[in-house]
Amino acid sequence: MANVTRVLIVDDHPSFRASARAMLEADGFEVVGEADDGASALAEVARLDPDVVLLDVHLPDATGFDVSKRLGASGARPSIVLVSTRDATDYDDLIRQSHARGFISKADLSGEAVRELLE
Amino acid sequence: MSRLTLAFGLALLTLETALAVWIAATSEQVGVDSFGIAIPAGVVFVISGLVALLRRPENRTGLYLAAVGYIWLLGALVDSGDSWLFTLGLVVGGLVWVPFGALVLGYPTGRLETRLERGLPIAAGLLVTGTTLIEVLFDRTPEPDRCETCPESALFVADQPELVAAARTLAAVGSLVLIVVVIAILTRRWQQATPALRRLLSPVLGAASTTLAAAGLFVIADQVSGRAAEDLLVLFYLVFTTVPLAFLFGILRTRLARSSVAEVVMALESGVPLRDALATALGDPTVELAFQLESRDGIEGTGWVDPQGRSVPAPVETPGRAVRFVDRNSARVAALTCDASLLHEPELVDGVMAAAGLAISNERLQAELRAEIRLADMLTGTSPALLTTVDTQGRLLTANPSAVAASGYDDASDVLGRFFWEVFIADDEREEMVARFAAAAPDFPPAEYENAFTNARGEDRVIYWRSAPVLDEDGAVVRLVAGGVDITERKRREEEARAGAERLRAVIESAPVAIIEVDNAQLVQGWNPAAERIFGWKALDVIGSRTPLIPPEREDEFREIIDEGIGGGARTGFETKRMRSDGTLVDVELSTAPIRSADGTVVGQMAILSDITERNRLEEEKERERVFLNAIANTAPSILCLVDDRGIVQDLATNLAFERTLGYETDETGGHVFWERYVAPDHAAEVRDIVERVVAGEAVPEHDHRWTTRGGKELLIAWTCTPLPRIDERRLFLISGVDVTERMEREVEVGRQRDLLRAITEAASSFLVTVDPNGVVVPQNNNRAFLTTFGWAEEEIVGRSFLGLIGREDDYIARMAIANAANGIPQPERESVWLDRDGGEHTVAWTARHVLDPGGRSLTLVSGTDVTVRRRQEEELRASRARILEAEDQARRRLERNLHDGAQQRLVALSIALRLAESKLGGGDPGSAATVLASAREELMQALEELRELARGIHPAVLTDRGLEPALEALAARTPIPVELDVDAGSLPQQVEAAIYYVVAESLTNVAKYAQATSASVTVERANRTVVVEVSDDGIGDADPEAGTGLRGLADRVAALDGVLLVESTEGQGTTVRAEIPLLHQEAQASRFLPNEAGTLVDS
Repeated sequence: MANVTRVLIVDDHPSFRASARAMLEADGFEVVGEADDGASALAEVARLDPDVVLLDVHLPDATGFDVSKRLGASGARPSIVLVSTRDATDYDDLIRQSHARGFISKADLSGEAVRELLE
Repeated sequence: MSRLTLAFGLALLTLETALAVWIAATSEQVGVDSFGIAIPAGVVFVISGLVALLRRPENRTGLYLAAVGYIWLLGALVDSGDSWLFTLGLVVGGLVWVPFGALVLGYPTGRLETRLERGLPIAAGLLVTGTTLIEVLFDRTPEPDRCETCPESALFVADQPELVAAARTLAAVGSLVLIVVVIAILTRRWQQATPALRRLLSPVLGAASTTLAAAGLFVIADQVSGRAAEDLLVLFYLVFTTVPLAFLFGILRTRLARSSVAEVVMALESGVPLRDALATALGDPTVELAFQLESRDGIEGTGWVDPQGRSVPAPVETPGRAVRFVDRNSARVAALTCDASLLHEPELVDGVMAAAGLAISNERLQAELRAEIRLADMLTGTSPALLTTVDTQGRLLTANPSAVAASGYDDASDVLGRFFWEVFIADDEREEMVARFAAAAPDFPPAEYENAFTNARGEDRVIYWRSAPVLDEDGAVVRLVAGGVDITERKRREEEARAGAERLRAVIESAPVAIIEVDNAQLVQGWNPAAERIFGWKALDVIGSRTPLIPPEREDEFREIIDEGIGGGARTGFETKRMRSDGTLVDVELSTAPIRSADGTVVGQMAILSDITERNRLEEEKERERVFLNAIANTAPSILCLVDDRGIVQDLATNLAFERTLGYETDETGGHVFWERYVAPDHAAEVRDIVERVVAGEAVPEHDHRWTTRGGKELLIAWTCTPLPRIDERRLFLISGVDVTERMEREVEVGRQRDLLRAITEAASSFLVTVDPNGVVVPQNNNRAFLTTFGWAEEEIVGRSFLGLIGREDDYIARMAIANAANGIPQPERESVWLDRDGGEHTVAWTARHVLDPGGRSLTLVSGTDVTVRRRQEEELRASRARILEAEDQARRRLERNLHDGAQQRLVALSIALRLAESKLGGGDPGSAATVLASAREELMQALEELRELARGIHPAVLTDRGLEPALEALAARTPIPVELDVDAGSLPQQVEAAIYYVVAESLTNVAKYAQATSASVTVERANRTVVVEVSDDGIGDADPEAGTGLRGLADRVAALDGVLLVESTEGQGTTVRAEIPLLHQEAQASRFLPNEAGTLVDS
C-alpha cells in the first residue's frame, strides 16, 4: 500500500495513548502525533494534517463531540473516529449528529476496526 | 277569895307589921322614915292587894300588890341588930322587884302577855338578889352608907372589895336598863291605848312610872354619893306608897261610876242626844248606838238602824271594840258598840245603860219612824211611776224624780208651785183640763185620763194619770195625789208592732221563697205570690183547703212535720220534694216554725219553701269541680299545700306529692305551722319571712329552700307562696314546690366538670380562643397560653375581631374557616401566620369548630399550636438532607470519574495490550509479545491497586472488619505526620462509628493537605451518653469551615445524628475539630432522619 494512513491520538490518559499507538502501529498505521486535550488536539490537527483523528469523547477541557464539531466547522480533512470506554449506545444520537466517521469502544479498538470505519 | 284566905292574909300582915315595928323600935340606926313611911307603904300594898283580890278575884293584880307588901315588910329585917336577920332582910328585900314588875307590866288585866313582860320581873329579881348575895358573901359590912352600926354579914366569907364594887356597878347599870325598858313599854302601851283605856291606865302608869323614875334616880345618886341617896330615899318611899293607891283606885273606880249615872240622867233631861250623853258618861267618844227594828217588809238587811233610821250592819265584836246588847222583854232592842276597855268597868257600863234605858226605848221608836219615812221617800224617789201632789188650786206641791224627768225639767224646784197643767198638759188640751179640774172641785173624786204632751225638753210623752183626793180630819179635800205612768214607750211599741206586721206582710208578699201558712187541720191559711210561682197553684185555689203540694209517697213525712209543729218543734233546711200543679216534682228546702196564739198554744205552721233545683245543680257542679281539682292536685308533680295567714297547714289540704315527698299520711299533715315542721331549721326563718310577706300582700318570686321529710332527710325545694281568693272570709295561701334536689346535684356536677374543663383549658399549651359567628372574641374562654403568647390581656382582646390577629394573606381563609365552623362544617388543620400584640409573627397550625356555650349561644372555638420553631427545624432538616444528597452525588461523581480515569483506563489498556500480544503471537513475534504481556501484567497490578483504593474510599473495610480503633490506627498510619491516638469509647452504634471515622479521616486529610503541622492528636471518648471526637493539630490554623465541602459534609453527617460539629481554628494556634454525638435512640433517630441512600452508602 503506497500511502500509510497517518493517525493523531487525542486522549488525556497516557496509558491509553501508549496502548493505542502500539496497537495501531502494529496494524500498519502511522501515529503522527498525540494530544491530551481538546485545544491541543485542534492545534495538532492543523500542524500535522493527519488522515485520521482518534478522539476520546471525554477530555478535560471539552467533549469529543465539541472538538469534532470544531474540526468539521474549520473544514479540516481528517476523518474523525470517536473512542470511549463507554458503550456506543450511551452516545447514540450525539455520534450520528457529529462530523465523526464513527465510534469505537476503547475495549474494541484495533487497526481493523479503524479501517472498517474508513472504508 | 275565901274568908279563910282573907283571914290568913290579914294575920300575916299583922304578924309582919308587928315584927317590923318591933325591929324598928329596938334598932339603933332606924330613922324616922321607917316608921313614918316604909312600914305604912308595905301595909298599904298588902291591904290594897287584899281589897283588889276581894273585888276582882280573877285579876292577879291584887296578888301582885299583896306580894309586894309582904316582901317589903320583910325587908324591914335589915334594921335588925342581929347579923342573921340583917342578912336575911338584905337578901329577901331585893325580891320585892319581882311582884312589883309583874304588877306594873300586867296592869290592868294582871296577865303578862309577852315573853319580855314575863322575863323583865325575873331579871330584876335575879339582878338585885344576885348583887346582894355577892355583897353579903364578900363584904363584911354590906350597908356601911346607911348605918355605921349595922351588923356584919352573917354569910361573910372573905373580903373582896373589887368584886363587890364591880357587882354594885353592874347592878346599878342593869337596874337602869331595866327601868328604862319598863318605862318604854309603858309609854308605848299608853300611846296605843284608846281614850277609854287611857283613862283607866293613866293613874296607875303615872304612879308606877314615877316610882321607877325615882328608883332610877336613887340608883344613880347611890353611885355618886351615899348621902344624896339617903335624901332621895325618903322621896322614893313617898312615891312608892302612891302606887298601891293608884292601883286600888283603878281597880275600884267602879265605885265612882255612880256619879256617871247621875251625869247621864241629867244630860238626857237637859236634851243632850242619847249617844252623846252615853259617850260623855262612859268617857268613850267612839260609842255607837244601833237599834233593832221588828222585822218588817221594805226595811232591808239585818233590821238594824242607826238613830237616824239608816240601815246599818248588825253590830259585832271586833278587836278593840266591844258590843253591849240591850234587851227588853226578852227581845233585843239596841246595841252599844264601845271601846273594849270599858269591859273592865262593867259596873259603869251597866249603870249607865240602866239609867239610859227609857231614853233608849224612845230613841228606838224614833229611829223606827225615821226608817219608815226613809222607806217611803225611797219608794217615791225610786218609783218609775210619776207621783205628784197638787193643792186644790191645781198647783204642784210635790213631784217625785220620775215626774220631774217626765216634765223635762232638770230639777223639782223648776216645777213645784206651778200649775199641774202648765207642766204636764199640752197647749191644746190645757183649757179643757182646767175646766175639768174646776168641775171636779170641791170633792175631786178619783179620776183617770190619758194625755199626750210635749215636755220642756221637747220630748213627746204619753202619760196615763190617776188622781185621788187627800182628806183632812173633817173630810175636806186638802190636796190631791196624782199618779201617772209614762206609756210613751208602750205606745211607741204598739205603733212599731203595727208597722212590723205591715212590713212582714210586704216581706211575705215579695219574698222569693214560698211562704205557706197551714193550720193544725192542715188547711192552708196563707199562700204568697212566690208559692204561686213555684208551685203553679193560685192562692185563691188553695186557701181553706188541704195543701195540694204533698206527693203521695211523702204523706207520712208531712204528717210528722205537722205533728212536730203542734208539739212546738221547728225544722230548718229540711230537703224534700213537693209537687207542682202540673204534677211534676220540685226539690225544695223546707223550714217550718209553729204559729202561736197569744196564750202560747200552737195554732198552725208557717212553712218556707225554696226551690233548690238550681242550687243542687250548682252544688253538684261544684262537687264535680272539687273532685276534678283534687284529682289535678293529687296527680300534679308539684308539692302543694294550703296554709292560713299564720302559716298553719290546713287539714286535708296537702296533695299526694306533698305526702309522698315528705313522708306523711294525708290526715297528719294539717294543724302544724308549715315552717316549723316541714322546713329545715336553718331555713325556717327565711321561709317564714317569705310567707309573711305574701300574707302582707307582697308578691315574692320563687325561692329554693331545704325542706325536711318526716325521716329527717333534707330536700331542696324550689317553691312559691301565692294567696288564694278568700273563701268564707278565710285567707288561704297555696304553697307550691318542686323537688330540685337532683337538679341541684346535677348542676353541681356540671359545675365541677366545667371547672375541670376550664382548668384543662387554662393549662393546655395549645391556644384556645372563642369567637362569635362574626369572628369577634368573646370573654372567658381564651386561655392563658393564647393570652401570654400573643401578649394580650383578656379584657383587651375581648370584643376585637379575631381576623385582625391573622396575617393579611390568610385573612380570607381564616374568615371562611370560622364561618364554616360556625355552620358545623368540620375544618381541617391549616397553618397561618398569627400576629401578636407587638406585630410579631407566629406560625400557628389551627382549626376551628362549632361549640355551644352554657347559655346555648353558638360560638366558634379556635384552637391552634405554635409551629414556628417546628417549621424552622423542619426547614433546617430539609437543607441538611439536601446537602447530604449533594455530598453523595459528588461522591458518586468522584467515584465514577475515579473508576473511569483509573481502573477503567487501565483495564482498557490491558485489553488493548492483550489484543496486541495476541496479534504478535499470531504474527510470529513471541519476543515482543512477551514484552507486551509483561507490561500488561504491570497494568493489571496497577488496576487492582487502584480498585482497592477506591473501595476503601467508599467504605473503610477495616472499620467493618476490625472495628473503630484499628480503623483509626490505619488512618493515623497513612497520615504523613505523627498522630497520637486515644480512643476510649467502647461499643458504639454502626452509624456513629462511621461518622467518627469520617470526621477523623477528613480532618487528618485536611491536616496533611493544609495545616503544615508537625503532629496531630485524635481522641474519642464517651461522656454522659454522648461521644466526643476531637482532632487537633499544631499547624497554622485559620481554617474556614465554610470554605470547602469537606467540613460541611461532616457537619451534616453529625447533625443527622442530632450531634454538633465545632471547628476552632485561630491563626497560628492550630485547628481543633470537635464532634459531639448523643447516643440516645440513635437507631430510631437514624431511621427517621437519614434517607435510604445514606443507608446503602454505609452498608456497602
